[in-house]
Amino acid sequence: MTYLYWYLGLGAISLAVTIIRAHLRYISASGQANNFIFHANPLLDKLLLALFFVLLLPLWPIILIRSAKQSDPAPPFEEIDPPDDFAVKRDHLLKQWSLAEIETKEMISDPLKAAPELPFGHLNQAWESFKQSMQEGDQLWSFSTPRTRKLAGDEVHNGYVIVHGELIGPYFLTRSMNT
Amino acid sequence: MTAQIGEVLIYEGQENAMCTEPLEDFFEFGGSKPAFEPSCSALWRGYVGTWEIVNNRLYMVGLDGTLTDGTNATLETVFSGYPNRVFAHWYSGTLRIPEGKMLKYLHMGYGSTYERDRFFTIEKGVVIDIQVCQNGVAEEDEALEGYSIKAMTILPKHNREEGNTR
Repeated sequence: MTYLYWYLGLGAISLAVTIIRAHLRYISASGQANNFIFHANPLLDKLLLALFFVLLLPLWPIILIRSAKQSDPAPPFEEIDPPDDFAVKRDHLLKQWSLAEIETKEMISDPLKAAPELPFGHLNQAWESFKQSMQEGDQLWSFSTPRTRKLAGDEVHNGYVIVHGELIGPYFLTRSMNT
Repeated sequence: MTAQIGEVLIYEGQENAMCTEPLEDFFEFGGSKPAFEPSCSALWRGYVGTWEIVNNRLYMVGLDGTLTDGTNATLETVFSGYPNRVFAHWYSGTLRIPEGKMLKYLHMGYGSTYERDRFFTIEKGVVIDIQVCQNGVAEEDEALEGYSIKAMTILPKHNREEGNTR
């Protein structure tokens, strides 16, 4: 009988430590001190937690080993939301623009000076990099392209794309809206 | 996908959980994305951003996350030279702020429903419309107030180091 008390006593301590540790890691991860595992009803939460504790107490070595191992790695994000074949097509083109027109239109200005006063503001570096893709004779067009992704659902993407003759080349996104 | 920890929106001096991630658009549009390390299944993006609406403009005023090299990520990690405030000029869309008590829990993304949703329509970082949508009234008096999630899996560091990052 003494061994059983020791077994259950050790189990109670181990389970409590496991739960508290997980709770602290939750707070550390989320910055929120409440709502860990709990149900919308606080009284029910306490009952469920007590029930959970009592039922799992005899099985504490399994819980402890499982908690230590955490052997199931989370699936890579690419598996959750696989990349699609997004491409701008000719019938998505809206209007031809000159480089100067775009850079005037997309100039960012903020009264609190919280963005660089440049075309596309904080995205100016990406814009400059996009411009490097342009060659002699290329045109710049605005576009609106529908896109369906597993997690995001149906969207419409807007932006500017380089058109080189029949080829519709690199694009620069400026807006992504769910439809 | 587990229910996700929300962003934080400061509006009229009050902090609210926000079920929209405007910084993801910044990354999608070509902004440089640091290697965030997700600490748990409820935070796949690996960071929590704090946003504020001032004079009808959306600003990012904080970022709390960890990078894969173990260092802390702040606003300046993403926006060099802008440690305190960044105008979210890249964002056009709708911000969703759930309010009131939970009506129905869905353990996926931001799928849970609450008594009300406050929607901010944003055009290039500027608020152009605010609407409150009434979704119902919670039947349970003790239902929790405000956005919450029920459970998550804490990702062990060795799993995270194996490249299972978003």
